[in-house]
Amino acid sequence: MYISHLGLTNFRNYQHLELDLPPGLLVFYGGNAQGKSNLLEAVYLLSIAKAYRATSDREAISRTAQDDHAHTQVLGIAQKGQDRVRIVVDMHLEGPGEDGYQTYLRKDIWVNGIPRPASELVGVVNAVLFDAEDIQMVSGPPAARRRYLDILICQMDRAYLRSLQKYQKVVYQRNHLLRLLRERRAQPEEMDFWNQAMVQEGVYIAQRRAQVVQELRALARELYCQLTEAREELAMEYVPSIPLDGEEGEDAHHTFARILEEGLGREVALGSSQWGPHRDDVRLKIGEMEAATYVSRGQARTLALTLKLAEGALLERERGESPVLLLDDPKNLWVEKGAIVPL
Amino acid sequence: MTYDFLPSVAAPLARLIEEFHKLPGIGPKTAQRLAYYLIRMPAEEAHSLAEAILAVKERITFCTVCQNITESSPCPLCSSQSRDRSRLCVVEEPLDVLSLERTRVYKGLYHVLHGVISPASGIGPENLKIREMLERLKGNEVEEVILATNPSLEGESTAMYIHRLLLPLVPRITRLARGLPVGGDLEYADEVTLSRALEGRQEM
Repeated sequence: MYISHLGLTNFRNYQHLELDLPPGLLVFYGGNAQGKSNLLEAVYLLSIAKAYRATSDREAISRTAQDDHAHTQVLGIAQKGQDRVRIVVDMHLEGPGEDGYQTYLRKDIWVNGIPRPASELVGVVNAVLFDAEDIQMVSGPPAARRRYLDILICQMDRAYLRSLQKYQKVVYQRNHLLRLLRERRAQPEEMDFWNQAMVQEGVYIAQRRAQVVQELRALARELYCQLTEAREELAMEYVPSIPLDGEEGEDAHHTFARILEEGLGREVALGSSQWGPHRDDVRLKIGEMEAATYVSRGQARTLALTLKLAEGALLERERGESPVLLLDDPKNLWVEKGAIVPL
Repeated sequence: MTYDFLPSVAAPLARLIEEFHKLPGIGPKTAQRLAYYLIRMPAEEAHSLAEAILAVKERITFCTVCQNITESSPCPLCSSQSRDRSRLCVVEEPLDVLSLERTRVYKGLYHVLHGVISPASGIGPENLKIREMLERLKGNEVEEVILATNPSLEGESTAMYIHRLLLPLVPRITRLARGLPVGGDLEYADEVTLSRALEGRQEM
């Protein structure tokens, strides 16, 4: 599939833009601060319904539009074989905005003219975005690697997205309850429900992540070989916070439940949830070296690109159609190896 | 929001707009429209509206039995002789009683919790009307308690908490079924709803 048309209104630095795009490899070049990355972000917004580079979607709304509450719109037409899919993501600020009242962001999504919730946009446009920040997946904290997995799995599995949202709510409520317990303002048996919900969603999330890492591993290893001409071998390992196969003949649910039960005292003392998928990590190794600590900048960049290309390859296998690859400023990669083979 | 900076809005009108704006679901535009509508309303109708608002505040109390809002305690539902006293339906809010009554299917009694357990908002079991519910179940002829809290995370948590307290007191504890809406189309149901509906399928 490819994007055949992009229309932007008040998106980042674009006041208005209508752009017809051909299929195949497309290069945007120009000076700094011209809006090259913003184009990629706009396409990615059509895929994940979120402004990827922004900490909040608000940042994607142009300054002037924020001030007078004008609409920000990203329109995309995706060509999927014979089908054309028209997607519109509309965002605007609502609320008075003056005298201390908070404004809030309203996001509406239409697919072929029909309003859809954000969760149903997932999977309509497959896209993989790679930019300079993605080096965080290699050298940054575990959260960056969890985010990588989560965005990928959400694009393949809506149940995962729902599970993840529920899990986040459970952790949030549970952390509050742990603090209430520490202050002796709640009873321990109030924890039962939250533990049960945490186990149920947590085990599902961990198992799904384990499966996906398993599939990614082979793809990533092969891609890394191609990119570096097989000088080094990439190893990828999922490090769940809870043992997935269970322990001593128990299944994963029982083990997780027991860990929570036995660890309650510690969690109460610390006032936060210590075990579960929100503490997972993915370990990356090149040869025998831990990627997070030992790799060079150049290696880290190649490794991050590998992970993104593996994401694309996996989406392609799951969906039977190739995703749109969005590579932001890949010049270092071109210089490094001369060619990006999988493109 | 204040309208002081708008010279064209008279002070009493600005105050009324502000009061409307405080209400749930009423934005600044609707508040203005309601206020201007009231100006054109006959004086007696305006009086009657004002009285109705005051009456709600002055005459409405909580039923000592079911905790629902009422004018007389015990409320008409609790004191009615035609209700089935062997069934008790536990709901989150008074509005839920209205919804269930509209079905005309349920003939039992109610108990209103006035909220759900939510640690993040600092609401624990002791902030709900759970103690009152346990009190009224002691030495009572209730044979079934229907837990009708919402199918949200907090609603489920509350239902489970209450369930455990009720086990030694009530022979039968049930939970509202979840599944397909009536008149709905299988095609449009999401996976979670559909799988819940499958789990809760019934013999025909």
